[in-house]
Amino acid sequence: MADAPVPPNDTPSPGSSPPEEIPWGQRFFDRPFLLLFLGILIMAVFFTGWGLWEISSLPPAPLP
Amino acid sequence: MNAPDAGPGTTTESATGRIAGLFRTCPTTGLAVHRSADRLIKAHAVAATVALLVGGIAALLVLLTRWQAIHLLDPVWFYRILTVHGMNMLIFFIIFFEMAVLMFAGPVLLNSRVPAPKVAWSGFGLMVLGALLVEWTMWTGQADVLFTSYVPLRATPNFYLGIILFAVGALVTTGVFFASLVVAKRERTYEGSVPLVTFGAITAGIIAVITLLHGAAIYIPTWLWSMDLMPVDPQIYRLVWWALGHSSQQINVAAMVSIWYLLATLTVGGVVVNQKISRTAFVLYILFISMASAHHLLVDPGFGAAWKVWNTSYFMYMAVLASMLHGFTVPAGVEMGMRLRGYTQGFFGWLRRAPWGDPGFSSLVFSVVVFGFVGGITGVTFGTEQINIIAHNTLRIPGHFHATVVSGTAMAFMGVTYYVIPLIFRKQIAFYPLAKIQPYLFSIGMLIFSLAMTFAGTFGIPRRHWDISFSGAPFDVQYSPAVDIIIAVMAIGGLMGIVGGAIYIVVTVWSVFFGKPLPAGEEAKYAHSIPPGIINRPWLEIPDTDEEPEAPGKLGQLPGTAILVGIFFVAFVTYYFANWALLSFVWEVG
Repeated sequence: MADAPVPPNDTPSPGSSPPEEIPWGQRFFDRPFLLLFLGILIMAVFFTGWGLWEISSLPPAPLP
Repeated sequence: MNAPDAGPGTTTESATGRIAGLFRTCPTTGLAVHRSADRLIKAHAVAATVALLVGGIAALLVLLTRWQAIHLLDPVWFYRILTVHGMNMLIFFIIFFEMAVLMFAGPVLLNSRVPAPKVAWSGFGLMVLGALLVEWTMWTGQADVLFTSYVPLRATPNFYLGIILFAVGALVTTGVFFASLVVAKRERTYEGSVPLVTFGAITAGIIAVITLLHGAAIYIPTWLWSMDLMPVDPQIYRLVWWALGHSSQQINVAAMVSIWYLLATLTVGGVVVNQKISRTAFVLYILFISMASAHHLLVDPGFGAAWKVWNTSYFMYMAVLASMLHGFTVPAGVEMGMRLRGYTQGFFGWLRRAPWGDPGFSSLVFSVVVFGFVGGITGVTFGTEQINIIAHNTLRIPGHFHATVVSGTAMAFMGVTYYVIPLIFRKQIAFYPLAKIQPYLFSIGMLIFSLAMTFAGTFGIPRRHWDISFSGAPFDVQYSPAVDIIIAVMAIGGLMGIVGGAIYIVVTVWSVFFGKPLPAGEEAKYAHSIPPGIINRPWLEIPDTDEEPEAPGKLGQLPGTAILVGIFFVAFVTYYFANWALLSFVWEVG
């Protein structure tokens, strides 16, 4: 992990036009950790959580 | 520099200016390749191929046993080898390869560095250690529990420990991939959004995290249960395990689709017709595809209809929509790329003039077509709660997933390997004429195999069964005599597929370990041993213009793709309603 980072180059050139506004959808898609959170949340709620609740709600089997 | 990244993200600096020694510049794509990424890709790809070899040998033994005319193995060894086949093909081969894809789509496509190479190597080491431990327990008969290892079937604790180590290792590597995204953004190695192929890899990475977290959540208690330290409820096991077992195959889908876009660009200069549509489809995968795991539980009594229908219908159909979007945009991108390069004749001139001798291109086409037409259509149909009751636990199910995982994912992985060997390993492809026919042999064989398996399943032939004649059983089971012929056809198709897989392994292993080097800048001299896309670089032939290409008829700019999509929908509707008809025969109303 000793590799040297590449220096950033974020100085705007003088007289450059204002940056284009990025659509909200693209901004949403550009946030991988938000997508990761939503992916885990939906699975945890609708598949795993709801499924565990269904199993735990099962009445005991009337064994002979 | 015009890297084949199929996306709006482009590099902001020349690779040649990077720190000497840590990066090399790919002479074909111009990408700056961090040498740690290079080595990690190679290591994961080699490990994947070893797993494929082991799983392939097991496939041959399983096939020759299920073929009743030969019936090779005794029952103990049949289930043992079936366990080996499942673990190697569905977990080790696939996930090792996917980790290679993550290392390519993150650091390489973003012109970035691997942020923590030692951590990444420790992840790889854990995966290898875990895989070896599992192999040892399986081959020594301590884990005859099949791929699903359903509780209360019990294996030795080391089996579960091996899987846990493998999953933790994969999680570590996935974490390094996500870290590479952060580093690339911070160090401005690209502008705008990440390329589409990287976005697909992010999708695969997210699904991997969901999958591996569920794997840890179920395998750690099961490991403790195997040592009598705690109980595990079989129904809870099935629920959480399938969030690993099926979702792991959804990592495949996302990785495979990413490779489709990559191969389309590399082989024919395919373009991304609409970034919004393709990325939206990937996001639908992230949000909804993992719930498809519920279709394995459709006949389980522990869950109500609402849970089943919600997860397998409403949510799964969002993922199906995503697959159909990709199933349109990938061929559309190929057609658009070919038309922009001047192949504008008729509806299918672009397809006739495509490089069918390029193993990357033929793999792409077979992967898309068989995955969509066979794997996709059967998957949606069997995932319907009512229809599932006539397909569950029959050969129709492995017929479906051999079309998705083998003909779809493995074929795509094989196709991209023919580009990885010259681009990453910098080697010529050994036995190149064999490599050119390999996708045909493998795909056609597996297509016959999958169709015959699915057809045999409609006669009620069970899956995972050592002897469908039930010899020695106290009851008599009679199947239609047609089943013997169908099983023989299945076996012939399977043998073709195995020969195709063996050619792939021979070609790749020989190329990587004993192959001739490919000198940088001299690719044109080696046209007889590398795919043409590397020499022709078709993505550079796409004119930089907004003019739309010529197209005949009234079907829009992409008439060939429109016709193919129409054929797909007709096949889909026909198969879907044919299965409702089949259901009506066994479940009469009134």
